[in-house]
Amino acid sequence: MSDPEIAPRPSGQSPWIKVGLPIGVAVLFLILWDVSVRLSGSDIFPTPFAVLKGIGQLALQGLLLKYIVASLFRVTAGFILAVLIGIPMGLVLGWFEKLFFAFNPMIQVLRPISPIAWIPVAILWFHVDDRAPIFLIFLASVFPITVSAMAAVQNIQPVYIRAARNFGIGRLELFRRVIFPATLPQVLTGIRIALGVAWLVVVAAEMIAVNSGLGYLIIDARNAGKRYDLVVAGMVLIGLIGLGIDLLVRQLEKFDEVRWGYGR
Amino acid sequence: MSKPVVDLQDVWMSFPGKAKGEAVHVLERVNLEVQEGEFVCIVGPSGCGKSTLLNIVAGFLQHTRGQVTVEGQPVHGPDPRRIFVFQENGIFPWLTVHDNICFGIRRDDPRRDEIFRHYVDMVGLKGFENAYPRELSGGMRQRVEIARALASSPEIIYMDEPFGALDFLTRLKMRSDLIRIWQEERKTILFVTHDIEEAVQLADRVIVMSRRPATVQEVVRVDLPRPRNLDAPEYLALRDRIFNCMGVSANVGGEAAKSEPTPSGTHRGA
Repeated sequence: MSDPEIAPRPSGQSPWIKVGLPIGVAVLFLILWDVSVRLSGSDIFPTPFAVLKGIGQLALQGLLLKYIVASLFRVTAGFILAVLIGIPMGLVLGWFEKLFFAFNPMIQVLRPISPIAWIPVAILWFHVDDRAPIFLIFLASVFPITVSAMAAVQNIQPVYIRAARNFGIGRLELFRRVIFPATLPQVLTGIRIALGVAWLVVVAAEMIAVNSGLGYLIIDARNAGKRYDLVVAGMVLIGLIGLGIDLLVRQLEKFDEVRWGYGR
Repeated sequence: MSKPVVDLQDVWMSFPGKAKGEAVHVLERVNLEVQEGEFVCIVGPSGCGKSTLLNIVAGFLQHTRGQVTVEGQPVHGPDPRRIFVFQENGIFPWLTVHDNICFGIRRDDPRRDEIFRHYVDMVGLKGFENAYPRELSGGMRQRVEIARALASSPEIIYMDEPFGALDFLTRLKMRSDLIRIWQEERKTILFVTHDIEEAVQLADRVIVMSRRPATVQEVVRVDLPRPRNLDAPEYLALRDRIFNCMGVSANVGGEAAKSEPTPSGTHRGA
C-alpha cells in the first residue's frame, strides 16, 4: 500500500527460459533415472519407459480413469466438507475474541495430529467404505482452512472496518461487504495449502481402507506380484495430478477481487 | 454568531498507561467550535493528540471527560452524516473505483449513477471507473476516498492528514483541488495536519495545539482570499506566527525565534 507505482513485478525472463529450463531438468532427471536402473541391473525397479508402458496398460484396462476419478472424488468430498465447516468456523472464531480464546487451544492441540494417526479411528467408526478416507481428508484440510480464515479476520486492516462502520452499515452487511472480501485472499491461500495436504492424505488413506484409487493402486501393485512399474506409475500420476490441482487453484488468485492481497 | 456544528467543551482524554493505575494524558481542557461550512485545520507537534481529538469528534474514540456535541447531539459513535477520510487510506482494495465511490450511496437511490458520475468527475478520475486501487497512484487513491466521502452526501468531513503520505507536488495539487471542491460543496471540513503551510493554505481558521497533554494553544483566523498567494506578506506573516507559536522558526536553523515569547500569551494552564 505504501508504493504508489503500478508494478506487476516483472520477472525479466523470457517464456523460453521459464518453460525450457524446467523441461530440461525433467529430461535430465529421466535420463539419469534410466541410466542408473540399467547400470544397477535391477529387474524389479522400472525404467521410465517401463513406467510409461505400465500407465498405458492401466489405461487399456480402464483402471487409470477409474482410479483417478475415485481418488479425486474422495478429495473433493472431504475437501468441500472442510471448506463448508472451516471457513465459517474460522471467520467466527477470528471475529469474536472470547470464542477465539475458548476454542483456539483445542484447535492447536488437534491440528498437529497427523491424519494418518486417525486411520485406526476412522476404520473403527466408518469401517472400510468411502467414508473413512473422506473423513481423513476432511480432518487434514479443515485445520489449515480454519486457521487461515481465523488469522485473516484478525489481520483485517482496522481502517476498512472503521470506514465501513462510518457509512452506517449493519453487522450482516459489514460481514458481506467488508469482512468476507477482506479475508478472501488469505482464505484462498489457506484453501490452496489445504488442498495440497488433502491430496497427500487421500493416497495414504486409500492404502488401508478401500479397493480403488491411486493409493490403492500403489499398495495393490506391490502386493500382487511386485509390479513396481505400476507402483511408480501411481507415484508419477499422483505428482502430476497434484501439480494440476495447484496450478488450477493458483488461477483463482489472479482474480481482481483477491489479487490486491498478494503484495501486487 | 450562529450555533456551532461541532462543539467541544472542556474535553479531556487519557489512555491507560503501561504501569497499573497510571494514565497517559493526551488531551486537556480542549474547547473548540466549528461553524457550518467552515474549513478548520488543526495543527500541532507530532504525537500531540490532534489525531486522537479528531477520532473523538468522529465517534471512533470515547473521551474521558467533557462534552462533545455535533449538530446539537452528543457523539456516541460514527455517523454516516459525518465521514472520516483516513490518513492510511481507507478505500477498499477489493472494489473498483466505481464500487468504492458508490459504497456509501443507498442502493435504492435513483440518482445513484448520477451522483457517482458527478463525483468521479469532480475528483478527476474519469476513465478510471473500473480500475482497482492497486492500479492507482497514492494521490488517485486519496481522491477516490474523498469522492467516496462526498458521494454519501455528509454534512461534515473529517480529514486526518489525508495527504501525509503523498509526495510534495501531488500534495500541492491535492490541496488546490480540495479547496475547489470545498468551494463547490460548502461542506464543513475539520482537517488535521502537522504541516503548517498546508493549514494556512487551506483553512478559514487554524487551531494550534500544544504539546502533550494537548490543549488549544492558539486560534489563528486566515482571512485571505482563495486561491491564496503563497508569496503574499499577509500569508507569510500568518504562517510565521504559527511557526513561532509552535516554538520553531520559519527559517530553518534560526535559533532566534525559540527564545522569543509566543506572540499571544495563551499558554496552557500550568
